[in-house]
Amino acid sequence: MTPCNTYTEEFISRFVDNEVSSLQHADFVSHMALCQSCTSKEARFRQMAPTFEAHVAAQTLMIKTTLPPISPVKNPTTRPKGRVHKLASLGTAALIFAVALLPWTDDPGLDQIPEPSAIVNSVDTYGSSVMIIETANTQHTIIWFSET
Amino acid sequence: MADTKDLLKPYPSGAGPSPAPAPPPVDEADLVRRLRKGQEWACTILVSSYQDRLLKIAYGITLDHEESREIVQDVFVSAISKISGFRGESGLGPWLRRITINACLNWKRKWKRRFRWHHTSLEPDTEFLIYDAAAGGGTPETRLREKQKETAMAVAVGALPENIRAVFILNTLEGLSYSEISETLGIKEGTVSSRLYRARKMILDRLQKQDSSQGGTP
Repeated sequence: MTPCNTYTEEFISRFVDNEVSSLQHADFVSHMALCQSCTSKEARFRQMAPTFEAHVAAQTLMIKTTLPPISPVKNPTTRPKGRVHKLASLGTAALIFAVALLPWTDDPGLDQIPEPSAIVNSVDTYGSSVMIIETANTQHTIIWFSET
Repeated sequence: MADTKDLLKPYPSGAGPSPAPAPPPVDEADLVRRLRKGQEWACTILVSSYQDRLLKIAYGITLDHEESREIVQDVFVSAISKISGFRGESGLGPWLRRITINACLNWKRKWKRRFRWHHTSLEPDTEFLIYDAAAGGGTPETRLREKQKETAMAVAVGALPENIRAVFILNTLEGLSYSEISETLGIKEGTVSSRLYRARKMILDRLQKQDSSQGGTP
């Protein structure tokens, strides 16, 4: 197919979005009747929206069926606020880190622990999340706690 | 459980329970007024009316199920708590859309989320088999090809820079004009035009690369 230099690709993109003047629209329609290159490009640009829309529609359906329903208010019992809760969260985090690091305190190769390679499991709540990570070679298990 | 058809049948005159009270009007001004009063019914109506649209936008930008759900959840909580500041100039839909886009673009890339973003599942992609049953139409081969096209498209969209992707999403999923996108994102119309062109060009290039690497024709 011979490439066409009469119309730029950005023009074709605007044409697909109906963002050209009526005169330009009519000219380009006449041009497409004779130009296979522009016709093909216009068709490929136009096809993107329905293909992506179909994907997003399927994924949205999946989000609605597999995840908890969206609630207009967050359940206060799952996300308590206040200083006591914050201190308790920090305390829990510190405890988990301390336990996770205990077996490594005498390990001279501590600095050479490789990057995490896989998330074995993760539990998310509204207030915090805990993740269990495994390293590639040494099979060390890291427990990661964070407040979301 | 009663059959839906039975439920839709009208009661003969003088028989059956008294008719249920008419549902409250879902007029936008009324909905906003009820939201300001903190009525739970109004919150539920707000969620059921807008969650699909907002989920599509959030998923389109984040391409992550949990993240998009969390963002939309937060958008509703934030919108309800800030409803007193809603001036009604552009309508609830555009207002919620703007909050959603801002939430997506301000999306904090914690390392956990970054990991998830680049994580490639080792599980075979069988999701579509479940949802194809409901989709209907076409042979399994046709549906498989369509699904492959959709997945390839999603991968290509996922590779777009976020500012370009946001413009593409608003154009594709919300059907906004260049001036509406310009207003929503606070950018010039010329920038909208060039970003949309770049999005399409990048998607097309990526799809063509994928086709050629699989030995297909572009």
